[in-house]
Amino acid sequence: MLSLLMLAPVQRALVALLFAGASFPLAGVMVIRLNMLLLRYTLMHALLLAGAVSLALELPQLPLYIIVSVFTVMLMLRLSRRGGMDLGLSSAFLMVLAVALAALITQVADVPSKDTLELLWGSPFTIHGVELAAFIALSILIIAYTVAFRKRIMLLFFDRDVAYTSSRHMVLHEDAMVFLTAFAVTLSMRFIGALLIDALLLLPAVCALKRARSVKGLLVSSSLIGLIVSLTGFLLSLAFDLPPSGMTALASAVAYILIPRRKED
Amino acid sequence: MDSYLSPLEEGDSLELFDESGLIFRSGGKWLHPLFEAEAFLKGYEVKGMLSVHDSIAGCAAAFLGVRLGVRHVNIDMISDAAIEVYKRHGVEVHYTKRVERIKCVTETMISPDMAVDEAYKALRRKAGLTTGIPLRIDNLSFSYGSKKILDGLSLYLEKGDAVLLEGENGSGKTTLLRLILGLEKASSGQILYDGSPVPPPIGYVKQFKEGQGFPFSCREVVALTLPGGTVDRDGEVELALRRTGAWHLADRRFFSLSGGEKARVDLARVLASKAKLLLLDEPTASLDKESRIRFADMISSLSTDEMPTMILVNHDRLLSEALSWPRLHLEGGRLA
Repeated sequence: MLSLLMLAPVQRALVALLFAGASFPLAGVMVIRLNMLLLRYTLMHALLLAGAVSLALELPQLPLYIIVSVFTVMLMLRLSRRGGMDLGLSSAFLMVLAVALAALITQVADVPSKDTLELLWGSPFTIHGVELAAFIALSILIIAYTVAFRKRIMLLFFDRDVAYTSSRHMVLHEDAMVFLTAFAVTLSMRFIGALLIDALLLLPAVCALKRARSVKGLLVSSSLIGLIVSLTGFLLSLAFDLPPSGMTALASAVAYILIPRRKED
Repeated sequence: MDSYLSPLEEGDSLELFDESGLIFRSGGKWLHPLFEAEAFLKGYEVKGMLSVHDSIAGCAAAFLGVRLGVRHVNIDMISDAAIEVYKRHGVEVHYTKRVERIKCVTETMISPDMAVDEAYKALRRKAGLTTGIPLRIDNLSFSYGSKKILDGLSLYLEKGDAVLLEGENGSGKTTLLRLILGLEKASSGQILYDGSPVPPPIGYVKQFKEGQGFPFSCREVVALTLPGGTVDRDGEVELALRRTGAWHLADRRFFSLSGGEKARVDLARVLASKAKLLLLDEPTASLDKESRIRFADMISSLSTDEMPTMILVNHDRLLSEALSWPRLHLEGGRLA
């Protein structure tokens, strides 16, 4: 295993997973509290659309992914604010719209649908230098934002009406959380795969929810659990020569089972 | 014991005594020494009965003394109205000179037959000691689609005013609150908060229906809306929770509390926020009788002691009777 750790792709994958493990669960807490569970499915479908466009028009994939993700999130926010839908409903609507457009483009432009679907299955071992830098930058941004604006984030977690009447610029923070989550999902889907996103984004936060007595405790323990399961999953994958995404997801699931639920007050 | 009967020390206009002797003195003018004494007593445990030696007392000073809990007074110059107020409230009065009236605007503003809290609120307002802001609503209209909810509604509240807002279900009470909160936009009309169209931070107490399972500790909830720049955050949180009798809940999970406990913690949050405008949307709707009475006491003392401007949407008869605030009835999109 030690010899494997000397390889550059393995080292890059380890660094990416550790950063993602520590930071993505913070976005996971946002996803759970702000009812953005459907957001990641919407973005998966938006990526299918971006992939179909990219293959049909022979355009570079990553910029197109980011453009489509940003556009999707902006549309989702607009629908939820002016269209009378909450984030969950607007996500569901856009998810259906994106996959319908992807199917039409695939048919009209004669794009092999198998190639489009493969875009969803990234691997941490495929991460290159620039991609790793983007990944680390996003992780640091998520942690820095959470620390710097903890009070406003907590206000929005507590109650949207109370937040909007107690402090200004809350709409910007609501948008910031949605965009950070969207970027985390988009980059992860491309580089570490769809399976790992839920394992790193949601499961550590769900584990932490079982024990936390405060929101501060929830954020800190989500991050720690994410770090531990990503490291454990990665090392197990090297030891047993299994996919890191599957092993990390398994480690998260085991953590969920092993962590007992705290008795209610 | 009878130190209050001795002459005032040079430079003093008011001296306050309890069984341990002189506990407070002031050389201030008008009613300020009595307001200063009130602030002092908030952090002092009185031993036995309170006595006061004041240089001059009209009707207003008498009411303030009564509210402080003074049992004996010695006044160098006293008005007839002040004697009447003291006697009505069982205070033993000594004086050097009696006059028909004191030359002060408060002597005509306050009459001896007023309730103590009513007089006290009027005097605090006169002294500029209210925390509230004036709220002006002019010709406000709001519609959901083609259904008109508010139709040219106007309202003016002075700083420190507290009113109950009543009306049938669907009459627009919550809509009016949401417009004042800035959460909805009016079709026409305007709302001015202390002369400005921009809403200040508002203390909003609502019924919580969501959030089960999210682990906010009560301590965190109260700290959420502390004003920026608060130095002793822990101290402020503790003080607010103690004021609403919820300190023992500090480390419990907010969303797992009963309705009554939740209401006390949320009121502590609003108190700690030092908001100048408080909107309360049916705060007692899910509470049992004992919790409703307790909540009414807390709100009543808040409206008298600190006087933020308050609007309380209410369906609760018990609360209406306990608070005895002016009632505004919303009907047909307007206030009656």
